[in-house]
Formats: sequence, C-alpha cells, structure tokens
Amino acid sequence: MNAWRGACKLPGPMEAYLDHNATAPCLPAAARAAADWLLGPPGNPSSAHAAGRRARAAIEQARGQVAAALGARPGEVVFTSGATEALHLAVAGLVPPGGHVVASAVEHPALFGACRVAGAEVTRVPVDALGRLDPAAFRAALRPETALVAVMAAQNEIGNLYPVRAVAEAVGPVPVLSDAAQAFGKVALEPGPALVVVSGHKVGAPAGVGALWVAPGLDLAPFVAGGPQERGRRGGTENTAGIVAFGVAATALPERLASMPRVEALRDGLEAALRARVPGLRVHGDPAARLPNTLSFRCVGVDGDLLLAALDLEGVRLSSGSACSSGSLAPSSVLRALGLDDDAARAGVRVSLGPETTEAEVERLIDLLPAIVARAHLSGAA
Amino acid sequence: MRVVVAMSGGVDSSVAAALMHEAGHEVVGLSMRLRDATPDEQRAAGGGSCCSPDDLRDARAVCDRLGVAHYVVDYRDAFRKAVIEPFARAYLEGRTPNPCVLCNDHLKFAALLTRARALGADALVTGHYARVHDRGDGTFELRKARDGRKDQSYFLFGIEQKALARIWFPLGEMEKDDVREHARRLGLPVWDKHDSEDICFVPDGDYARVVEAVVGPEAVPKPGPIVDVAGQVLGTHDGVHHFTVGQRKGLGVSSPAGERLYVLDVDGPRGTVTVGRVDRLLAAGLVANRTHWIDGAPPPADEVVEARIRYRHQGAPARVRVEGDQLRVDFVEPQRAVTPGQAVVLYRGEQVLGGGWIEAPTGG
Repeated sequence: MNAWRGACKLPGPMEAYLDHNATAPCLPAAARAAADWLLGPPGNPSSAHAAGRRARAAIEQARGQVAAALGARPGEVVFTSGATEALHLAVAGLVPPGGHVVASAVEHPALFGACRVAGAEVTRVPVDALGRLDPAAFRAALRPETALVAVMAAQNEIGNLYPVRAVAEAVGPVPVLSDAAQAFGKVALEPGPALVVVSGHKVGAPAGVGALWVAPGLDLAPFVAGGPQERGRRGGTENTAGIVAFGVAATALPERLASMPRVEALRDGLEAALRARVPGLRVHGDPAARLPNTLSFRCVGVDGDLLLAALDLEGVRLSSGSACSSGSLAPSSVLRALGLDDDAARAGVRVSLGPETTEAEVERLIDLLPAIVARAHLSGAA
Repeated sequence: MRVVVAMSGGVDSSVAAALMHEAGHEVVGLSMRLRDATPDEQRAAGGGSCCSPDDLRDARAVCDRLGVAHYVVDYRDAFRKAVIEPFARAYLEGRTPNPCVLCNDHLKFAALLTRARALGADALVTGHYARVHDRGDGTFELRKARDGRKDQSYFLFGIEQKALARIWFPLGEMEKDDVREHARRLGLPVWDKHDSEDICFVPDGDYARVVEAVVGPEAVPKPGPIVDVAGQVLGTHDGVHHFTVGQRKGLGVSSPAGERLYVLDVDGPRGTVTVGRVDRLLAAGLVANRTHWIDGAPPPADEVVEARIRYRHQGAPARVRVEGDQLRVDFVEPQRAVTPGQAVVLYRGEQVLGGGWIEAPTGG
C-alpha cells in the first residue's frame, strides 16, 4: 500500500493520472492547512494589529519551512504567485533594459517571456541530441555586459538534469538563475546558483504560490512595485493560505524525496515495458542524468496530440510537450532543440509520475498504448 | 457509440455535438486549427491570444458545457498547402476557386476522418446540412438536406463512398430555425452566434488582399486591360484577381452604347478581363475535369440530371458525357455565368451523383 494515496482523493480505478509534472496532487495536510487558514480569523499580514501579526507569523513560519527545504535562510526567500512570476522577478530585478542574458535553449517559455518583457537580448546555449548542456558553452557565450545566466535544474519535458553547479563555476561572477520548478522535491538541488525558482503546486501545495530564493548580497530591483510586502521585492497582499500550504508541503519534502527511488523503479519498469511492446518507440533525454519520475518518448509517425487524446478517452492523463503547447500549437521547441524535425517533435509525449502513482496506473498505460499505436497505424493516421 | 464531432465553434456543429450527446453517444469534439489569427483578430481578442482564435474557444466552451472531451488538431500546414495556396493560384489563373470543397475533400473527410478512426470513433459527425441514405446493401447515397435553403451537399460532392459509411449529418433533416431552437433549449453558449457564409480565412471578404498576401509581391497580378468582346480596350484594371465571371460592380468602365457590362472572361496568363452585355454570359454547357463519382461511375449520357454550377445555383437540367477525365455538361436551357474554378455538381433528384471542376463554358 502506498502511503501517499492516504486521504488524498485520486482518480478512480479506470483513471491514471500520469501528468505530475503539469501539476501534482495537493497533499491533504497542505490542503487542510490552507482551509484552516481561510476558515479561521481574517488577517492582512501588513496590518499593525493582532490579526495582522497572526498572518505575518503564519507567513514567516512558512518562509522558514520553505527555506529549510531549500537549505537557505528565511530572509532569502521571496514568495510569489508561482514559478513564472519568480522568473519574471529575477530577470526584471537583475537585467537592465537591453541587457544580455545567456540561457539554455531548453528553458521554460516563462524564462524567455521574462527576458522579452525585460527587453533583454538572449543568447541560447544549444543542447546535444540527448538534450545535454556543456558548461563551457555558457562561458563562451558571455559578454562583458552579460547580466544573468539561466540554466534550469531539471528540464520539464524530457526530464534532463543539468549541471547547475558546473555552469555557475564556469560563468562566475555572473549570477546564475536556476529554474528548479521540476527538480524541487524530486532530486537534491545543487548549490551554485545565485537565484533559484520553485513552485508550490509541483510539490503538493495548491497552484498560485511559488518562491524565489535569492543569494545573500544580491540586490533585486522591485518587480511589483507599490507595496512593502516581501521586503519591497514583490508588492501586493500575500496569498497567505497558499503560502501556509506551501510551507506544509515543504516540510513533507524529505518524504517526497525518499519516495523517489520507488517512483524511479516504476518509471524504469514502464520504460522497459513500452520499449518491448511498442514498435518504433524512441525515448528522449539523457538516460544517465534524468529526473526519476519523467519519461519523454515518441512513437515514430504517430502524432503526440493523437496519443494524448486517445489515452485521455481511456482515462490516462499525460501530456504532449509542455502543458502550454499541448493546445496543439507548435511542435515542442524542446524536442526541436534536440535536433528532431517538426514531425518527430510533434510525436513527443511526456509521462510524469509522482509519489502517489500506483502500479495499476502505470499498468494501464502499458496495456493501452500498444493497441492505440496499432489502431493509429491501421487507420492510416501514422 | 463513440463519435467524433467536427466542431468549428459555430451553431451548427455545436448543435450536432449536443444532439449526439443527448442521444447517449460518447461525444469527442475535434476542432481543426487551420490558420493563425490575423493581426486584426488578435487585436479583437485582446492580444496575447497564444493558442486559439475565438472559434476554437467557442467550440471548447460548448464541449465543456456538455462535459465532453475536446481536442484541437493542428492542420495549419495542410490547410495552407491543400486549400489556401490553390485558392490563391486559381485567382492568378483567372479562376474563381471554391476552397470549402477542397477543405472537405482534403481535411474534413480525409485527415479528420482518419483521426476519428485512430481515436476509436464509430462515426465522424459534422454540422453540414446534407443527408446520408443507407441503401441497405452496404452502399450509401449522399443526399440534399431537407431544408433546401440550407442544403450544403454541393460542398460534399468529393466524398468517397467508403467514407459515407462512417459519416453522420444529424442536421440534414432539420431546418435552420430548429437548429437555433435546439441551441437555445440546450443552453449552448453559441446559440445566437451569427451565420457565416464567408470563407473562413477571408473574414472581411477581401479576397484580393488574401491572394496578394499568399502569392507574395512578385506574383501579384499586374494591372491590365479591360476589353470588350471585339478586343477593343475600354479601360484598365488593377489585376485579374479582383474579378470573377458575372461580376458587374467595380469595373470602372462603361460601354459606348451605355449598356450594363458584366465580366465575361478573366484571362490570367494574359492579364485581360473581357466584359460585355448580360446575354453574353449565357452558356450552353461547360467542360469540367478532375471528376469524382460517389458510386464510381457517371450517369448515363441520355439521362437528364440536375447540374449546379455554384453553391447558390438553383440547379439546371442537363445531360453529361464523360471522355477520359473530362466531363462535358450540356444544359437543357443556357445558364448564366459559368465560372471556371467552381465545381459543377450533378444530382439525380435528391441524390448527389458527383461532379467535377469547371474548366470553361461551352457554346453561347
């Protein structure tokens, strides 16, 4: 029996939720903490009275919990609405208009969006066919005016782990921003970056809360100006309930990390079974340095959106590319960066597991995928 | 049964989906993403519309309302190659194309039907006003819709016999007013959306601008002469892509005798537009090619069938002969404005027999 399933309401027996990288189930304890806060007495953390002090204390407790999970001091953690906002906060705070950013070619679109908004010029460091990055390539891309280097800790689509520490050593003293939204809670984070972005809903908190860790001594210009909240770095009344829940989820992080060997065994079993049963299956990413929960693959000639839909109709939830591009827009830019052509990139799908995942859920995909791929070939769709 | 409903976001396909759902089928909505939003549409959507033009959002809203699955399929490349580019090229050749038929032939009842099968669907449902009749012997007839004013069978003449077995048109027996009534009754968010008779990728009706954008500045037709039937130059035009046979407005020339002038012929390669009196628009027949027969064979040469030479044509009695891939149609009474590039679709009563693409009028 899997302790993670516990009181959490998960899909019924015919459903398999295999999209934990999109969002993870909310931990019951985190949901309860948020509900308790919302159902309790009100309080704006900026208010001078006791109700405000209570809210402030709740936030500061959560800040300590998240900081502990990051191995940081509480004062270095800024709460945001999520990873996207944290990336914007970091880029806007460090990159002057027209400034230069060196970023891996496979960063999340939110990072590139933040650079665009900041008016930054971006040099993209390419990946090889396995999606790997070379730290020396970051150094080679530096210019005197480079204000920031961005390298994610783990890639959301293909699951690759990146040598954040080696990149930081290669580009010092330029500050390194590391998007750890997917790595947090799945692998230990490497030291080295000056800024780390994490997201609540990937680790069992509700969506709508995230954090930016900023190394001591680094000055960020305020992003959402107009309020003294978060030491002036991020104005606006805090999402106290979400922050409290994030704190609770952060305290469960050691258990989450401890569950990863089981998750990895499930993922490896899934990968082996699919390789054996689905002709033309190709796995993406670096088998030597990959998140324990993620499997990115394609079935040659079969559109990823078709697989997503066909599996969805049978109760299996996974994604094609990142959640944003699965509305059938462009082929995955991450798979393109690996050197795949448009058709191959369109074929990509991502399975991502979590501590709550059961063997039955994985079995369901193993049972269904070969038949669905065969049907696609028979129908002429492949 | 599992049915895929092709959903454009309009009233008709939304009602088709709702009726299938009401009848107890497992409905899967599929919307084709055919093109990117134009800058105007992006502005109207408030900018930053990353994924869907409004119609796709409407289709999704209807499916959400019904509680059924909805997916978008990206056919932008195929649509450009199979529909938009041939559309633009036809104008360069002096033809007036019919992109809706091409879209049905190459996307809706080809790629989308294939995708429906790949999703395990028993049928592909669309909101077309047309009917499929099961002959009971394993073959099917395509028929006109009950509501003659809404009949869209003209656009469907290219359907393959084997595809008919898996296509349902639930609106074929209904009147448009019934469809709106159903939409209102079912609380569909699109019930009062206006009917569009425009070509979807020319929302403002400015064909010439679309042609220019697709073919690029090098290939845009040059200005040329407007001549009468004797070859006398009456004026100049801004490019043959602005003209279609039978057109009266926007010529900017008048006949010396003060008669109303109509476009009789558009010669793309020469860049010439020929105009003349309305009686010169009459043709005894036409020649067409690229024929398609739903039952695999054309009607016998001595049979009088009904020929429609454009979507809104009421139909004219005619006899047809097929020589190789060429179809000759002889009208019992001469018909006005036979337009190269349009489809000629042949009917036996309610039944669609097939048709072809008009190459030229014959006789006078």
